[in-house]
Amino acid sequence: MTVISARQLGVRYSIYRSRTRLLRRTVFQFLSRELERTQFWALRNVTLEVREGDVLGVIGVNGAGKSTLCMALAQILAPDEGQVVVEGKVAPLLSLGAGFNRDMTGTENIYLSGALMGYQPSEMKEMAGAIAAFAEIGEFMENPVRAYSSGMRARLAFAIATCIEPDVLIMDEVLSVGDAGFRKKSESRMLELMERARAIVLVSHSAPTIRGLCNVAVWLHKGEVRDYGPADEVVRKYEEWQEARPSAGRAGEGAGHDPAL
Amino acid sequence: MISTIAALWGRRDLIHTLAVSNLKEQHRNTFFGYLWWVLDPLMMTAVYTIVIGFIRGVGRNEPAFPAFVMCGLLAWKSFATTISQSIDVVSRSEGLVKSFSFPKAVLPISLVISNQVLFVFALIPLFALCLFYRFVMGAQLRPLAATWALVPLLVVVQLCLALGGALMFSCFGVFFRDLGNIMTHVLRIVWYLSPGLYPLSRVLKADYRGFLQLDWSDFHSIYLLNPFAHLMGGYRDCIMYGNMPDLAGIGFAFCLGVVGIGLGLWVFQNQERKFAKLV
Repeated sequence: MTVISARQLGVRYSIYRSRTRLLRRTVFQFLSRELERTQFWALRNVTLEVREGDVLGVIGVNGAGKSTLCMALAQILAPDEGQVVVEGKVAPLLSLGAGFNRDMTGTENIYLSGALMGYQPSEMKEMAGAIAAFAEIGEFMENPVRAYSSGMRARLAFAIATCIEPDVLIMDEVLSVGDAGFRKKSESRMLELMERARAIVLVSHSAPTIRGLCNVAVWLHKGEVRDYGPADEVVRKYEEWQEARPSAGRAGEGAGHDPAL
Repeated sequence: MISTIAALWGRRDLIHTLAVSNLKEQHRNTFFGYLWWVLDPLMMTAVYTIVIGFIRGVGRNEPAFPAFVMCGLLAWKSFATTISQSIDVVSRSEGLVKSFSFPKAVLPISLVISNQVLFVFALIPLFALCLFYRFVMGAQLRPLAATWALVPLLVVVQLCLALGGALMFSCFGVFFRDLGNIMTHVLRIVWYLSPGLYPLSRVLKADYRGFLQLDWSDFHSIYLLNPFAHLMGGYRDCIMYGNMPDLAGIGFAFCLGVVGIGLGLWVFQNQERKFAKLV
């Protein structure tokens, strides 16, 4: 069964996405008709499908549109073109601990994150124990999150997103957190989710991660799909392409357009 | 519109959780903790009473001027705080807006609820103050009258006004960051144009002809468009004097609030999809 389907998906940003969106500037742009010229497509003509049990890997250089794709699939960004249809509950894990209130305790934040993803407090109550155990935070659960190390925050966020067993788990570049032990544990947790026919969307720079965990992959380049198909093939082509490129400026390309920055 | 309301109702657990976390984070790690919920309003009242009452002598004819000030001040502060916090509530919640998919209207709604809870708690020291003036100072008040039963009605009217305003301003605030600076002054003007520190009768009796070379003939009707002109008097009637409030005025304020909520939800419905890109 198809869990996520994206058709001709396009997301457009204005270049002037600065934090200070001043009245003066908006009026100025409106008068000078500069508005149309200062827009670019972070994602365009993306068509893909995620079925139950699929693990879709998203690969590409900085600024390729990977984070924007995650946000669009998680229905955080409304597409400007095309459409996204999602069946079931989505757990977005885009930046670890973004939904946390730093003044509240770990336990309180379990309920907050759950509510953000659409789960009832009673449902979260059943899972709170399992989440605390998986995150290995111990007695710090009753301390405010501001006192946590970044590793503890990341573990708690990962534990919440995976213990609730969402229909789709969307992860943006978050597997690299934590020590080796936790990384191993989180990978085996993902394999468990896959066995239970949950779908996962996974963004990673690391070709071995994509090859090891994903069965399908999409290679994005400058907002468009360069290749889409079985993970092994897509990753092989991506690696060949990377080898062939002049190595200079590899990481920096298009960085100015990366909406995640 | 119906679907927007239904979606919000479906996320009432989220609204509840956010409202509770707003309340919890405010005075966490302070020495007095939740005691600030009653200390804050008392201190505010003390400041205004001293500055206005003793220096200018405005409250000479009031039997219990501090209680008189507190009635207006609590209602206004709750409203003004809600509005000014709502302007940047979406950008302050950037982490949530960019990481989760939820109806964004839950942010201003939970803000309104937590501020209303604080307001209801602030009524406790107000009641105590009225009792003090009645039984210790022997002032002509009726703080134990049956009109207390009408206070929840006034609270609901005020909730509607705050909700309508918070929905609209939280949306506009995403697009125009200048709004915060502008509203600081607008709110201050409306406060002094409300009968918070003086009785309404003083405005209605006064003669402004010739002031600033303007024609003031319509001033009273414009003044009465401010819902707080009715609401503040309503609180005083119910809580201090034991009189029936002016139901026509309260009804007008209620209608204004309902229209505000409708407009606010409509604006949200059309604009909230842009939020994740703009904050």
